[in-house]
Amino acid sequence: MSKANPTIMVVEDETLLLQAITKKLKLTNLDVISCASGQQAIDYLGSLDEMPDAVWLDYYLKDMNGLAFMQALKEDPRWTNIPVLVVSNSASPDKVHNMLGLGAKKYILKAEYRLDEIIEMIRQFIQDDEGSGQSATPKPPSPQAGQ
Amino acid sequence: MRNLFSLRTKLIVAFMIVAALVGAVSVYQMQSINRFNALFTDLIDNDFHRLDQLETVRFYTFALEQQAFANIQDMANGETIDVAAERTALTALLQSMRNSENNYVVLLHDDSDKQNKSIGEITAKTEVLGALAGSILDQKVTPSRAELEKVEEELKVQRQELTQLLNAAIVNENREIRQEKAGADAATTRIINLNIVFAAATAAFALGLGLLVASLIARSLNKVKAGAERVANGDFSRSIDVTSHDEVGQLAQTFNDMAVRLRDSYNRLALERQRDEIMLESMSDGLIAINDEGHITLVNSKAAEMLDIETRSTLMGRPLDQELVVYDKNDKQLDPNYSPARAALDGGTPITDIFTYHKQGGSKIILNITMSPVGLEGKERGVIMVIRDVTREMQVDRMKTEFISLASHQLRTPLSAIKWFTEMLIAGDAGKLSSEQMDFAKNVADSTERMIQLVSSLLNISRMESGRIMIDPKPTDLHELVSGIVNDLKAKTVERRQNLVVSVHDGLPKVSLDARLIGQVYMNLLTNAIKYTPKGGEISVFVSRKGDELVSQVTDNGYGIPKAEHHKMFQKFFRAANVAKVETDGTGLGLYLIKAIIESSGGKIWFESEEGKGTTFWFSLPMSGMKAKEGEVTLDN
Repeated sequence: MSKANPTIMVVEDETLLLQAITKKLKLTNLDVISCASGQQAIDYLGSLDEMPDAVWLDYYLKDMNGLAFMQALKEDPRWTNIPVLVVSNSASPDKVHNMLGLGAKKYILKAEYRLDEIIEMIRQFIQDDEGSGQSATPKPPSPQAGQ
Repeated sequence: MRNLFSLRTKLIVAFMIVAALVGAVSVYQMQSINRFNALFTDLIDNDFHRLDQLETVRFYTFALEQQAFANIQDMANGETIDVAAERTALTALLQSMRNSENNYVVLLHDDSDKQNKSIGEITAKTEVLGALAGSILDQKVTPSRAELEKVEEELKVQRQELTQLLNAAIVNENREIRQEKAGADAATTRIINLNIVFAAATAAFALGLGLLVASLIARSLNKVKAGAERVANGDFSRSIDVTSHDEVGQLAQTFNDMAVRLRDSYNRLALERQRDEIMLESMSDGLIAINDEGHITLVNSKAAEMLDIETRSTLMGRPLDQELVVYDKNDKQLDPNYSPARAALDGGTPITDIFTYHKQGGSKIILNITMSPVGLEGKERGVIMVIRDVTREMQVDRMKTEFISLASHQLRTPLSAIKWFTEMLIAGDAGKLSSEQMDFAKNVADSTERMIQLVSSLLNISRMESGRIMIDPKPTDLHELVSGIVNDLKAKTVERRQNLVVSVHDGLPKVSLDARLIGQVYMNLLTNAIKYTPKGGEISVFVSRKGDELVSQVTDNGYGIPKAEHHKMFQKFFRAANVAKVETDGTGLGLYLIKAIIESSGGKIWFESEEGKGTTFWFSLPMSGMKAKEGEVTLDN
C-alpha cells in the first residue's frame, strides 16, 4: 500500500552529506527522518508508530558499524523487513557480503553515484517491496580513467 | 730414444750378467766333458784295442804251438801230413800274429819306449817261433824221434818266452788302462764338484743380484709410498727424494709435482672457505642449511641472532622441524603434512613463503624464507634457507594499506559532499543558475569526478601492489563478458557517434577468469579507445583463440600514440602529450593497472600505434585460465 509520500530514514554521521541527502530527498517528494548516529536511528525506530519505507545507511557510524546496526534491526520483527540501502565510501568484499547476508538490499559506494541515481534505487526498492524482490548485484565495472 | 736408465735396462743388464756367468760355466763344463771324452776315446780306441791285439797274439801263440805239436805227434807216429795244407795253416796263423802285432805298433800313437821295446821283442820271438814250427814241415826227410823231441822242447821254451813277453806287455797295458781310468774318474769327480760349485755360485749371484735390484726398486717405491702417505695426511712439507732417471724416479717427480699442485689447491680452497665464512657471517639475511634428511648443517650468525639461538653448535645435526617451530603468516599452526623445505627439495625449485616465529621473550616476528634445493643430482642434497625478517616491512605495508584505505575513505567523504551539492546546484535545486554559473558548476563537477576516479585508481593500485587483491576465477563466457562492457559504454559511443564492433570467435569455450578483473581490462581499453578517438570514429574488439592462449584485440582509428612515448605507456600517471591537451580527463593509471592485472594472470599486453592513424592493443591470457588467489580485497569500482 503506497502512501502519499514514502518515508526514508537516513543514517549518516557526516553533517554535510546528511544535509545534501535530506535536501535532495525532500525535493523528490520523499519524507525524511535524519539520524546522525546509529543509536539515534534505533531510538527513533523504537518510538515511531509507522515504520519508514526504506533505510539509507552509512556503514561507518560514530557509535557503531553497519553490522551492528543490521543486527539491531533484526531484534524487532517490525524492523527486519524494511529495505536497507547501504551507502558507504569503503566496500570490501567481506563487508558487502556480510551486510547483504544480514538483509541489506544493496551496498554501493557514495562517490560513484549521483543523488538522483541513489534515490531512484530506493524508489525501486519500495516498489519491489510492495511486490517482493531483492537485488543484491554489485554494480559492473564503471569507467576508470585511462591513459 | 728410450731412457737408458729405465728399469728395463737395469733388469736386462742384471740378467745378462747372470747369463754370462752361466755361459762361462757351461763353456768350462763343455771343455771338461771334451777332455773326458778324449780320454775315454783314447781308452777305447787305443788301450783296449792294443790289449785286444796282444791277447789275440797270445791266443794264436797257443794255437801255433798246438798245431806244431800235433804235427810233431803225427810225425812221431809215422802218419803222413798234408804238408802244403799245414804250411798254409801255419802261414795263416803267423800272418794273423804279425797282423795283430803290426796293429799294436800302429796303435802306439805316443812313443812309449818301453812298449816299443817290448813289442819289438815280441815280434822277434814270434818269428823265431814261427820259424821253429815251420822247420818241421820243411824237412825233406822225416825227422827222427830225437829230433822231434828236441824241436818240441825248443818250441815249448820259445812259446813260454813269447807268452811271458806277451803277459808282461798285457800287464803293462792293463796297468796303463787302470791309470787312465783312474784319471778319468778323477776328472769326472772334478767336473762334478766344479759344476756344483759353479751352480751354487751362479744361483747365489743371481739371487743376490735379483734381491739387490728388487730392493733398490722397492726402496725407491717405498719413498714414493711414504711421500704419498704424507700428502694424504695433509703434510706437504717434504718432497720425495728419488733422483734416479728410471720410471720410479719419474713417478716420484710426477708425484712431487702433483703434491705441489694439491697444496696450492688446498690453500686456494682454504682461502675461498675463509671468504665464504666471512660472507656468510656478514650477510644481513639469516642462512640455514639442511641436508636431505631435514637435519641442520649450517646456521649463520644472523640467523642465530634473528631466531634467538645462543649456541649454534647445539643445533647441528638436529632435525629442523623440531628445533625451529614456525607458524603460518597468520600465526596459525602449519599443516603438519606440508613441509615447504621438503617440497622445495622434491620439486627441484625454490619456494618462498611467509612465516611467523615466536621469539624467546614472547614477541613475534614475521619471516620471509626462501628455500632453495641444492645438489639435486648427486650426494649432498639439501636445502638452503635464506631468512629475512620482514616484520617491519609487513608493518609498514599494513600501515600503508590502512593509510590508503583510510585516506581513500577520508578523501571520498568530502568528495561525495562536493559531488552531491554540485549535482543539486546544476539541477537547479537551489535556484536557477545563470549560464556562466552553470558553466562554473559543471567545471567543478568534472574536476570532482576526476578526483573521485583518481582516488579509486590509487586505491586499486595500492591493493594490486600489496598483493591483497583476490582472484576468484570462474568459467566465463567471453561473449557475455565483452557484450556486457560494451553495453555499459553504449551511452558514450552513441553520444560520440562512434561505431563499436564486437567479434568474439565462435565456439570459444568458457575460460576460467575473474570476471571483475578482466572486465576491468576491457573497460579500460574500450574507455581509452572511445576517449581517444574523435567523434564518428571506428572501434572494434576481437576475441579469439591462438594455440593455448586467448587473445583479445581492441582497435581504434583515433589519435594514436607518438613513437617517442611508446615506451612510457604503462608507467604510472603517464599521459601521452598529444592527448593530454585534447582530453583532460585521464589519470594515467589505467594502463598501469590493467598491465598488472594481465601479468599476474599469466598473460601479456602489447600495442601498436601511429600518431594520427590509430591504436591497437592486444592482450593474451592462458586458455588454462587464471589461478585463484586468496586476497582481502577486490578492485574498487
